[in-house]
Amino acid sequence: MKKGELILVLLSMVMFLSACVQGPTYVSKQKAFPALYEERPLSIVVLPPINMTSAADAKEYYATTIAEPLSYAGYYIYPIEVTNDILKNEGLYDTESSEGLPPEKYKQFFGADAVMYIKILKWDTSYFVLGGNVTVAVDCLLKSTTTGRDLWKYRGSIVVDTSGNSNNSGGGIAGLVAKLIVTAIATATTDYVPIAKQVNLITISSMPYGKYNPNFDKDRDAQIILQQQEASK
Amino acid sequence: MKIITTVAVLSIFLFAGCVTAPKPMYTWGDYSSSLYNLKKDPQEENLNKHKQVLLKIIEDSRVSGLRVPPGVYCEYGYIMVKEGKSSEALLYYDLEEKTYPESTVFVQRLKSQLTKAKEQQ
Repeated sequence: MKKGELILVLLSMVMFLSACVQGPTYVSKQKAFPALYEERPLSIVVLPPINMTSAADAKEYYATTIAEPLSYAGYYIYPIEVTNDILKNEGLYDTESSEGLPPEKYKQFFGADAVMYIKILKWDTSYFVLGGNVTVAVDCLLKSTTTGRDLWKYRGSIVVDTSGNSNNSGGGIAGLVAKLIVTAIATATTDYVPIAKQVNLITISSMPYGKYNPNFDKDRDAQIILQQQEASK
Repeated sequence: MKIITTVAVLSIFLFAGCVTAPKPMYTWGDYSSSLYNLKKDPQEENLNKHKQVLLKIIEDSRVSGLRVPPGVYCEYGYIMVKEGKSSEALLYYDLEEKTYPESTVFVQRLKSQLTKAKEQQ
């Protein structure tokens, strides 16, 4: 076989193989979330998460983990402890009532530029014959209180193997992170908070930076993993 | 040749010195864990611990020359309201508004709640 032919064969093999392994598709932040770059919100009110799991305490516990990473992303986050109390007083703490309100109301009420809706999709432990898994999955949606548009949305999830074996089901960065914390939670399988924090880090890393972050507006070309349409339901 | 190597090595050190680690944006201390404990077991001891954490964040931020994280002054002020210390509460509300002017609408709402409550007393 001539050298040229060999290269051609090798090349087509590589193409063939890479087609089989469907890796993640990357997209720039600018392309994924153009509305956020247009509107440049500064202040965000985080609504009480909508708990779609059977774990009754997930809503309260998860809320303790979200202000910190959002502030580092560069946004002004209204004190969740206080806003939750106010929403409770107004009868808006429950799922349906806070979701049903038009986003513009949060501008009138709090002066917020944007409102964050969070759904806790998974917060559970599943036991197998040997050990078990802890899964935390959240779905975040940021809406403008001026135009009502979706500014940013992302879904993050982590599965952590708590059996003490090293083979965990989370791949990529998530898997790596999960490995690091698996020992920490091996003793207390019901402690979801450290996992929720990791989910937040992964999810919020896809969010364009806000004005308080030194990289504000410099991250338009930053690449993030594109999520399938079904992920933003 | 040796001199060149030395200079090269030295200049690497010099440049490395220029690239200092970026300053952290905030210090949040033990915020999420003390809040978590308070949610899990809402007794006075845990509330006091959380208050200490909030004050420590404020103090540590001052010492490190950092902006106090969003909402921290306000959350502390809100606890002061619940404890009936309204003048202290106003002080912290003012600090929140001064640090984050975008919080004005919200802080004004909290302040007017406070004055209403005072009038009712």
